[in-house]
Amino acid sequence: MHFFNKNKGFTLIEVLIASAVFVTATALIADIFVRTNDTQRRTQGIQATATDARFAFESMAREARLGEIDYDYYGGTVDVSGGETELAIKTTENNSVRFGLQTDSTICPTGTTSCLAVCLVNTCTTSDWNPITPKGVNVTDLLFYIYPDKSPFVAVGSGFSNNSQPRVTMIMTTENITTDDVSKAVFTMQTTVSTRVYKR
Amino acid sequence: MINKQGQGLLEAIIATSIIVVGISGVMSLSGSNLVASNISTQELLAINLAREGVEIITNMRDNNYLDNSLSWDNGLNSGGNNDDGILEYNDTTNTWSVDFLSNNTTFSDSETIMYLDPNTKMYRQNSAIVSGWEPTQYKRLININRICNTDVTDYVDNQQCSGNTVGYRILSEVEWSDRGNTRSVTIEKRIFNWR
Repeated sequence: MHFFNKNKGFTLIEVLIASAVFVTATALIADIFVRTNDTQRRTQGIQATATDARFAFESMAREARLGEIDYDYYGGTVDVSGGETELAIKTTENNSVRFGLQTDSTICPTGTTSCLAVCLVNTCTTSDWNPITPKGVNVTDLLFYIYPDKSPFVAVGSGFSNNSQPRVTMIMTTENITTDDVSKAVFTMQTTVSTRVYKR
Repeated sequence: MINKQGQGLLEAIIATSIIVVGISGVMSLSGSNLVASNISTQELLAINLAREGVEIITNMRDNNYLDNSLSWDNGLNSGGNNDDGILEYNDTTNTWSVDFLSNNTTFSDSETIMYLDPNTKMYRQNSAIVSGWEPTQYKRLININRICNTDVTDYVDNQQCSGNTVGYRILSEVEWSDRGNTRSVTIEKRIFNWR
């Protein structure tokens, strides 16, 4: 008896084997597709959080390095041990640059609950803040450890209040906005910059 | 023309292997894509931690400038031959200092491990670990060598400068391991008695 008989069409066994092979192959390919898709989404999540964190972080580091700490913004004294939530910089052209974590929905991009924002005036109101981090990314943590507490360049009596070149240690955590755990990425970065403005 | 012989075994094997190579190629590509973007994220943090190392040394020199009672390189030399160290942060005075370890310290020394302090949320290292600090996969080692006016070589070990020390070569290296592979980034900076 021939397994494949041209005159009789398909036998039950043939149909069964053929559909079993088809189902197995489809299941395997679907599984591969889902896995590859998950991997790609995870990669995308990591890339989004890291790229946006890098841009925002470099902007702050550059301003802090080239400008000087605006001690007047902190009322003359910085909280050195607890850290500050905003970074106030006075550029060499005497312009004001402030960085801060904002949670106001009128400031942050739609869909985000928190963002890194910049303000370019001396005293900032809600309308002065503009977001730096884009849609799809929340900034969950932002902390600045500034030292010293008072400007070393302002004369106090016959001397100065301290002999420390201002520096800022900044810590920022970003996470992408997503509903599934697969593509969730959280990224914390830290760096310290020493200001390059020498006045004494 | 109708082929009455059906498919040969060889043809089937070739067809199957082409499919397998194609699918496994796509899978390994997306897998290595994920690994690469993980590494690039780790590198981003490592570079920032390494930069912190040279910035803190620069800051120490600048502090010495503001304090007239100190020499410009106060705290930058170990006094001995040791040139490897870690950066310690003092919570009381809020100042950084270099803690010189024994000469030729490598990353196998546990003092180079960076910890995450849950109170300040800072990555930091210390020879005396405070309880509550969580160890991370990152390690940082600072290497400080003298640049000497009498030596023809580029830089020398700390006590081997017979003439005047004109500057210091700072190496800030951060090492971490990812899936059994050791990776590292290094930032080099030279600082002089000039700013």
